[in-house]
Amino acid sequence: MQEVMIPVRLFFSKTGRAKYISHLDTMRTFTRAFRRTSLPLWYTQGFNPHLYMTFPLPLALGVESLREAVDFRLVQEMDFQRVADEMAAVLPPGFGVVEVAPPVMPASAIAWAEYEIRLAYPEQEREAMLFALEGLFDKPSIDVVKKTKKGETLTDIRPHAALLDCKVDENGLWMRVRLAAGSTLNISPQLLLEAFQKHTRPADSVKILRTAILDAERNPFA
Amino acid sequence: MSLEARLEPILEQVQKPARYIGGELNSVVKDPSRVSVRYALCFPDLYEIGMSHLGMKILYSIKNKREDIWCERVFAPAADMEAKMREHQIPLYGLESLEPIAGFDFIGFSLQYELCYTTVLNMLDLAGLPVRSKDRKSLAPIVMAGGPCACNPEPLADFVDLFVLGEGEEVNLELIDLYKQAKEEHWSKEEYLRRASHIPGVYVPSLYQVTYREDGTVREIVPLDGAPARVTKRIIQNLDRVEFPESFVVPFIDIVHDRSMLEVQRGCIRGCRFCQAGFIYRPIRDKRPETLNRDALNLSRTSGYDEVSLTSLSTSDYLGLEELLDQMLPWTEEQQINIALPSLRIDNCSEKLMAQIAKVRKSGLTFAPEAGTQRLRDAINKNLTEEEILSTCRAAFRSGYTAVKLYFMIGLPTETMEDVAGIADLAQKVVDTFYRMPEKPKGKGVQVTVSVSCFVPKPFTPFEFEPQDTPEQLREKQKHLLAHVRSRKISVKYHDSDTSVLEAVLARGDRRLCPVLESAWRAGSRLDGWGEHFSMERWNQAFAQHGLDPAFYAHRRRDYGEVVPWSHLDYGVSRRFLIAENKKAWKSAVTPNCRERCSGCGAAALYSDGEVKPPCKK
Repeated sequence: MQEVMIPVRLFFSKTGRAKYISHLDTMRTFTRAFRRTSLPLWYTQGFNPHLYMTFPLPLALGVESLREAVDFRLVQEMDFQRVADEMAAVLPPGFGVVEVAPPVMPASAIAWAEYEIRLAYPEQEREAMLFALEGLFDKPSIDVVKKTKKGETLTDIRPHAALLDCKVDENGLWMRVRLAAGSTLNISPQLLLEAFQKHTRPADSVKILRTAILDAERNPFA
Repeated sequence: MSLEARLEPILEQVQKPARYIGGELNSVVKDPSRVSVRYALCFPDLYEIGMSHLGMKILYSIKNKREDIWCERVFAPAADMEAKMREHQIPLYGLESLEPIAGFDFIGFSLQYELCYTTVLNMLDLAGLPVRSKDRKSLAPIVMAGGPCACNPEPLADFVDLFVLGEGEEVNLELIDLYKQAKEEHWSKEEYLRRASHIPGVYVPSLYQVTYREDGTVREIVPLDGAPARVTKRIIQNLDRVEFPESFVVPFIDIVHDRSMLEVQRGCIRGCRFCQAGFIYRPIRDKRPETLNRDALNLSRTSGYDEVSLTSLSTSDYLGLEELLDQMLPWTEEQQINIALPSLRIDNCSEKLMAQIAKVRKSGLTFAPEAGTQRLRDAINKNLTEEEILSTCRAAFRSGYTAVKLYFMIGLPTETMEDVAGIADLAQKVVDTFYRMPEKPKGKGVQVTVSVSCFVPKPFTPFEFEPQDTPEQLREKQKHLLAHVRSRKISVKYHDSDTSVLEAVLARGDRRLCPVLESAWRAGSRLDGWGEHFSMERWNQAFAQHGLDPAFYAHRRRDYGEVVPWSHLDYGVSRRFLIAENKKAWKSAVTPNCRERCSGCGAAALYSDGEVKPPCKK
């Protein structure tokens, strides 16, 4: 029997309390959410069939996001708006459906991600922190210890990081950064903060929001 | 600043923050201004344990079904979170509202095992409340507790305002209704407790005066202020008509039992003499397959779980099992949902059933012979023969299993070193059975895991009179067992004997243990069931501080005539029956199960008129 198999990419937001849900738990959350819908989902065809589902770029625990992606497959043609509606109805609070579309780019196209980072400091320290942040990006290199599966390596993240905007706001420091992302080289915002806080005191609180996932030409991942 | 905002910086610094934020699918959020009773349903252990407990789900659902009640879940924080909460002065809060539970109307604890008692005190303290009942003067919050340990709640008598004996579905709502009246009419806490004590199944410890003899045993338990002389546990007369959740709160993180659960029956027909559950949940009552199939459909639809478990104390004794499986199989197979069948007995686990389980899990099979020799299995009334054990293992091996886990206990009453060695012999026979099978799976070895726990005598069992083995005796028996294991195909795991002693002390303890409990908690004891937190030394110091000897509670034989600390509590099963069963144990005489012949334990009297069902007769 010839089976149709329609690849689908669902873009979703993960905000508020949902930021405390780890990637592994997010996968489980989606598996169960899918099972609560009536969508004709494609299961793997092995001895133990399971729901096919992949996340092109996992999100770290504690980070919120406006636009994450999850890929899955349907076994019959279906209006994507209905897919979006059904999923929106079954996802737990904190997860929102942004868009459902056919995948345009492969996951390997992902090259960058943009973040907004808010660091809280007492009022009298904010200007100095802004100065320190700009100073960090003025340097020719930013060396950090990156932990990988093979051990710790000293990495220069300066070529893989861009400070797009920064200012003092009512809580402390606000910045917008673009960091290398993807399966080959991934610079987490926590790694950048580690480099920043090597010479400054830790912020009173840290809020990180992923705003976009981009390809090498900085087009939105689609 | 809201509690949620104050939690934020802390949650970034603790393990598994999703334990502490709520917001799970199917968790119930209500408008606080539109409810009249706030209830904190507390489980004195970590989220992963408490969220796996079916009783919590049932009580959560029953209360929240009522518009005037908002019931929230509360679990014990792990050590890292507790430290952060204390450092930042964040009180214990409900997971649904993220509001402090000190301001709630009820705080109810589920007491599933004795080692959670210090955690109960710790949770009250984290909530910002005095741990002692008499120091909480106002009507709210009423601190209540239920669950199996409520059958002898005396070690908690000074801390908990009232206990619910038996099944909670109805009595919880009766207590809440009485409370609403109390609030309207401005009763004192004493007045509320006095009136609550007249609700069947409600035990108010402050309304009973306990006196002791010189030798430390109880002299007398006197009811005060018109409280009933005996408190009888509550049962649900008809399980088909009682509410069962249509949905479960679906956790984000991995918990111990992360699946839909059905309760096919309550009680057990078997009467294994060591098993408290087998006596305190009598009489046996079951649900119709149609009811269970409906429950299963509801849960699967609302949760998205891909597994549904048919739970009870002994699921293969459920008479409707094959009919239920026939109803469930078509839709569960279509939706790729597994049916899990825990708690099967060896003697009636048919090959058809075995094939059904094999579809679900191919990894291993677990059986509980409990004792190594026929003589001891008869003494504990396990009613299981060696041939039944071996033939079941043979059937399991034939259907492809190569790993078997066998559960045993050491320290059982009447046990000899011969019985201990018998455990190793039985495990060896299982190994031999595998290798003698011509049709054994090719190229595979067999693995027999022997898991040995230490017997703890419990109230309301025929062994409530028995002394527990001392840790020295238990260690001696562990050594003896190890010395008898000859095959590398057998691996032996055993439990810590110190925690078993503490469990035995608390299980049959009296009110004099309240200050001991408080001292042990103040010295740092909590989450005692977790090895990394437990310290026997801390407990021993607490016993010494209050001049009490744990051996008095754990290792002493009780006369049949002794007034036990739970003498005023009635679980249906008569003391006369327990004594008769104890005597039979010492003669290694077995008692037939409830379906073969009624032995007149007394639990049938718990049925109200017109609800008497076979196999129980009045």
